[in-house]
Amino acid sequence: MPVTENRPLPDADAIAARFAQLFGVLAQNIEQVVRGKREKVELALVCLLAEGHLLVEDVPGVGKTTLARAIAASVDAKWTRVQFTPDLLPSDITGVSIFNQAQQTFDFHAGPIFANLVVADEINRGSPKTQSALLEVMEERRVTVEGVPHPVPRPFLVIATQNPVDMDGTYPLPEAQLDRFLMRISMGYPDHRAEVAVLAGAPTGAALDRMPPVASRDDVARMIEFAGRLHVAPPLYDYVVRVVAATRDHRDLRLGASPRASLALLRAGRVRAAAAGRAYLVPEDVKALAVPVIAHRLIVTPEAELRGRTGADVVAEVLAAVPTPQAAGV
Amino acid sequence: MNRRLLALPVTACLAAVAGLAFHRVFGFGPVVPVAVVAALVPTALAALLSGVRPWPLWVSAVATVPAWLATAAATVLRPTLGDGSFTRTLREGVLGSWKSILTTLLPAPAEPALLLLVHLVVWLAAFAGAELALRTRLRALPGVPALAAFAVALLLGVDGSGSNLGLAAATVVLLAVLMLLRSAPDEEGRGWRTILAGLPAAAALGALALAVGPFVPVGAEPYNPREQVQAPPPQTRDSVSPLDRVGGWLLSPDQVLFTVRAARREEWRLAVLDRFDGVTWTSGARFVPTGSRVPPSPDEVDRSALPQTITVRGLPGVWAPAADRPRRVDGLGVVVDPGSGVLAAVRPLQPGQTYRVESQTPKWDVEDLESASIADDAEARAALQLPWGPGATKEPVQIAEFRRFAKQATADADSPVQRAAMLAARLRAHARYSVTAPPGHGYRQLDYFLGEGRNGTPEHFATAYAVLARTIGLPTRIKVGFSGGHRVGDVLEVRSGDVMVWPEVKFDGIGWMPFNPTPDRPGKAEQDDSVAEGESRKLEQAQQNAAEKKRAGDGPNDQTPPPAAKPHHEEGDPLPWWAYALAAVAVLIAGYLGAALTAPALRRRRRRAGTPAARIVGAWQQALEHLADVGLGTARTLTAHEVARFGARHVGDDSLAHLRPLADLVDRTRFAQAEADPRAADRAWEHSDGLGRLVTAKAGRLRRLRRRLHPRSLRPRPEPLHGGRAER
Repeated sequence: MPVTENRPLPDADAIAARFAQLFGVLAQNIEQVVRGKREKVELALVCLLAEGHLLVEDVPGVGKTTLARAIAASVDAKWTRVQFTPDLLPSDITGVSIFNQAQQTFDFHAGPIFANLVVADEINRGSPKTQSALLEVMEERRVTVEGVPHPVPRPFLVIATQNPVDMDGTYPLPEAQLDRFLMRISMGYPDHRAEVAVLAGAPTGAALDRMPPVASRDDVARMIEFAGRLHVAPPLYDYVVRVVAATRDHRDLRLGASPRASLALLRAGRVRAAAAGRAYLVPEDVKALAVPVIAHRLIVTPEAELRGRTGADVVAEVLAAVPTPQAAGV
Repeated sequence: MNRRLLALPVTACLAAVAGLAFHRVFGFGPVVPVAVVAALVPTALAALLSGVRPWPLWVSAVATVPAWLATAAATVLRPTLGDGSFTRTLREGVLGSWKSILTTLLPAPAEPALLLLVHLVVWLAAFAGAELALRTRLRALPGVPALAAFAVALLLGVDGSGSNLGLAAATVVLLAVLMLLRSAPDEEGRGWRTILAGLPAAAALGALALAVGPFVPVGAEPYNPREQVQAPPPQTRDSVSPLDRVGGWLLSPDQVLFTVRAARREEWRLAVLDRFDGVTWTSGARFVPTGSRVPPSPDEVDRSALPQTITVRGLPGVWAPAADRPRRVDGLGVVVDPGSGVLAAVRPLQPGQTYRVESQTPKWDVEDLESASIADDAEARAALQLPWGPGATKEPVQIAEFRRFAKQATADADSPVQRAAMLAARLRAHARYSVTAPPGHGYRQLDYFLGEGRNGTPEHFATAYAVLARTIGLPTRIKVGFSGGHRVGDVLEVRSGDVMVWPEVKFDGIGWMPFNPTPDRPGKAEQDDSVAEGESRKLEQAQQNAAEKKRAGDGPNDQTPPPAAKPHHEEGDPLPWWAYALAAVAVLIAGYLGAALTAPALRRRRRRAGTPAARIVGAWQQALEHLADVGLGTARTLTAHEVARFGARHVGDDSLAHLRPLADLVDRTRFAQAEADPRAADRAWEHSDGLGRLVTAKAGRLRRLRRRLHPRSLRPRPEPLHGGRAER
């Protein structure tokens, strides 16, 4: 998919259409087991194709692991699951070097991080040191042991979960580490019809194992490549910056979003645009992703928190105030 | 160059023109330099402070205060720097100059304290105009301060001479240029073309204002703030009426009151008393400071110049003697009653004070006197009042007797002048001059004077004449002064015995004419009262001429002329003012309706033109305008598809069939790399038109028409943000 940034390709629209088709097939495939959560599924796929990571904040039993397994199965990728506990060590994630007496060398035994999709379950139960080790891999996409770098495979998506209810004995992720996640979403309970369908269909591990892959890892790599080079009109860069910057001097926020948020929003927006079959970004993409991409990076003031304000409320307010590039007065 | 900076010369010119409108207060000479400086300096200051990073408004506001002080000190207040009166003049100029202007006669003297007001008003207008030009986007707003300054000048100059029509036309042109500059697009070249194309229109607008201005019907006299601001009444200036001093002066007639150096003897008028309350005569003069000038008399008689130099000797009080009518007074601070021209010193007269007066004395024309009719203006009507007296509940019986006496005395008179002259002659014959007569001029004293006493001073003769004349409809007032004087060397020595009181009757077109009802003083060898004497001759001549005409008119063929036919007002009469007003309103309404109904069509035409991308954006603009009819207030923060969803909610789901493809097209046009093609533009307009039909069906034609007629529909809609892509 050779697409250049500055030169329009005659087949850009066709590639975008193919992207959208594949994206739809992936989402549909995952939805066979994660019922009634199309929007969440698409957000997770956006994370995957934008090469970001997903933080799912929700109670147990709403399908977080199932989502990760379904994505992995759909793209014919390897997935692993790490249950975070206070005694989990960094090497339990990254792997260790063990001396091979036969060959008189240290052999690296890769940890569970070396997979395409890693489910970091209840990440806030891990010690800060272990969390840091994971977050370092998330950012740098490689593990260095004994001075030897070991890159993780592509695509690489970490889906971390944390339980917002039972906070005893946990180590909440600091803001600097929350910033590493492209999005934070909440799965939410399925609606009645979806839950009935779940019971009827019983998407158990066996069903997941039977899921056919609908896209190869190469397909995913090409999709990532295309989205990364998707055309963005200059006014939209300005729009993204305006939206993010508006959080920095908002009266209800103690901490606004960083430039990393701007980059993340643009990256995710590009994927959404391609998923819609477009070879160009539109403000709609930015607006649709602003809350999941930005809200978890904000720290609301105690006073605003007492009033019930959340980061998502603030982002919605900012979006309603910042003029869109195509706006025209009426 | 920055378009906002370009507007600054225009706001400066507007402020300067507003300042020139003060020419009706001071004349052009003193006003021009003040207005120019006060308009240019704050504008330049505002331009300097705007810079690359504009200073906050408060900085400009604070900086302009010392700048104004420095400029005022270097210009209008410069004469006060040497004599230490700078602070006082500054305070008077800022706080009290408006009142001084309103209580003086125009043109006002070009004194620093008064000119400071012009400087301040123009400065404020220029400063506010420049700041508004730099800090706001509203096109005409920077012109508003200058208009306010113009209004101040108009109010202060209501009584002034000259016309502001040219300045008003210049203001119209400058306002048009200002709006043109601020509305022209910022693009290089295109903006200048718009300005160059608009300049002839602005000039035409000014010419139209100049041509039509004089014919604009005015239904009422302009508001005159002077009527709200009056100088203190004369009673507070001198507690003793000059009429009450007459008896005392006549009892000691050799006291030298003042001397006059003049070419001829005249009557030296002291005061005019025009109000009678049944007991006393007082003055209703409204004294105002006029500098050294006295306004001319409104009557139309010929006059001759008489310069005088008067030196006060023993004259008490504040009334300053001078020949009627003074035009200029030097050497004495005076206030003037503009109606009568009577002078009152600012401070009580002191022996040795000398002042110079230039007077224009009247020359009566016999022909005019013969045909003169009684004046019927407000002043004349006030001079017919005969109040019953303080505390009286019924008309004094003496008034009826006075009326009978006056009618008998003037029974043979045919003209008002004859009546006035015959009444004076009758009084001269009826009583004798006696300085020992008891003073007083109430109804009882006059009844005694005319009945049993028949002895009196000029006070009695003149006041009796005035009351008698008023009973038969002659508007009369009293004048106190001195006759002639005694020549000693090269000066006329005016003594207390020369005091004289005259009644004056007001005639239409002639003004107040004095009569002499006082007989000669016994034993007075030399006749000094030259004016009264000359007046008697002219009155006798007028009476004689009238009598001759009456005799010639007697006879069988003498018929009363038929009443004049009622003039036909239908022909040649100008249309009433309300007809003009109605026509103007009709033209305005028609113009507005035309503009309101045409503007959307013109916008639509403009949007359909241009490149395919521009046409697609135009179609979107048109769609937004359609959606405004169903309540879309603004689309500033909405994406195209959010607008589409709004349309679905308010117009119906059918609209999505048009709005979604249209939103996709406009998104692609603005944000995709691919070029827009003409077929896409055609499709966009099809969708826009389809949406328009749906909106019409939903909202109704009446609502759409109502919206179209709203003034908002005339406002040009802002271009899309970052709309440069549409130019491809």
